[in-house]
Amino acid sequence: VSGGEDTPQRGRDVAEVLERRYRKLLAWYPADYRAANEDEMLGVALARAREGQRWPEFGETANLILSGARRRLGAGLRNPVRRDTAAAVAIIGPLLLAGASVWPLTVSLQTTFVLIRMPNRVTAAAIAMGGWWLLVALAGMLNRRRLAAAGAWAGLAALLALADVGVAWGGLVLYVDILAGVLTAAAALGAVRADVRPLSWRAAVAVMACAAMVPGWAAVQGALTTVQGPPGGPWTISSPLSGAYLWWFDVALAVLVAVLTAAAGWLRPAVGRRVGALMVPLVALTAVICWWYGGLYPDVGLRMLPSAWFWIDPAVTVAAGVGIGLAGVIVGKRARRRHRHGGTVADA
Amino acid sequence: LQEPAFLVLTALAGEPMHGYALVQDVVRISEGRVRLHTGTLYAVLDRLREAGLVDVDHEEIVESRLRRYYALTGAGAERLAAEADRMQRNASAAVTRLRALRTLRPEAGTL
Repeated sequence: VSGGEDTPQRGRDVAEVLERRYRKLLAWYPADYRAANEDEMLGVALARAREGQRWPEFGETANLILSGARRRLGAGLRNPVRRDTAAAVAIIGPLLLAGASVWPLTVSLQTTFVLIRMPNRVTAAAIAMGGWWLLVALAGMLNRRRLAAAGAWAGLAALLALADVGVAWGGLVLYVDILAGVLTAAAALGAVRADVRPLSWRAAVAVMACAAMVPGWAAVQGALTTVQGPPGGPWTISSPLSGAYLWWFDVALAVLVAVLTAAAGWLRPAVGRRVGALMVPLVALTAVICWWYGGLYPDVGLRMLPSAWFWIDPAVTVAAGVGIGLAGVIVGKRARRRHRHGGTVADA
Repeated sequence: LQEPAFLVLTALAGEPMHGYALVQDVVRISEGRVRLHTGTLYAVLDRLREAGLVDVDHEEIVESRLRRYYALTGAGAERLAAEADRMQRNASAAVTRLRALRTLRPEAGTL
């Protein structure tokens, strides 16, 4: 290729390659921002480049990616509907988490499940986390958004730390908690600049009470269980709900979904729809787990549980939640495109 | 004001400029210490425009590419003057104290 590298044609090819690569980097910015600024930014980026440069510099690449991502996030949070959605989820999330912390407490009430009675440190950790999430929700209800965001991230960190050191309340409950914690922490950040309290106090109490029903089924069964017999035994344990715990989950979860739907219905329709979409992964994941394992604790009512499955629980549960969430986003985008194009799905 | 924003306002205090001219002028003003990345430059311009400190002066097409010129607004000039004054007062205080320190402890260096 001697002599060919310095020709004007070669120079134009190099410039086109570099321009194409910069355009790909600028794709990190939102579409409306690109429409207004891409040409101009491209001009600056190309002018900054050295003669014959084929690839964007590393620093420029990282800067454009981060700036574009920040712009996307900022654009999202400038939208009042999204801000209000985040504010609602930032309150509903901690309420659900506070409700879920009931589980280890109620299990200890059950005489029939005495063998899986929670160790004291687990019970103490659950009480502490339940109280913490209640405070986070309270901060959100009182419009202390920064405090709520800091509390949500601290709560998520505590959940991860508890999982790491093995102080956890039963495998799957914790994974659902972690997914809810991630959702809550992200929403709390997005809600920092929200203006209004999205939920009424009555709705907040209803959501939390119903959230406590799902893991609190054990308390119901425990309350109805009777133990009879002379001192020294033999004892007779009678549980009218024995064998019925599988559908108890379904009933409790259905009530929770109904209350969440009602709570979302009290919000503005656009906000309520988005809150519902964000809650779908969490509710669907909990439903799948309840159906699959027959409950939120894998030692109770096992179904379809290969031993190796235990080791991939965290990955599978979180991946399932993220997957369901992404599927929701894709379905939502397709629906929006169909709406824009008058009933036909445009090519991607 | 963070340093990139201060430098962009300072550059625009001279005359309206387009994006790349701003990058070059900021390099000159900062004596080569600050070379703004494209993403940073436009993030700064966006913030300054939202705050009403900078506005688009005019646009032109050069080599079939849009070139937008930015200019300092009245509010931008006031903000820059206030910021420069604040920095000058801080710098004066630092210089005064360093002189006093030099008097007390000659080994502390000279100004």
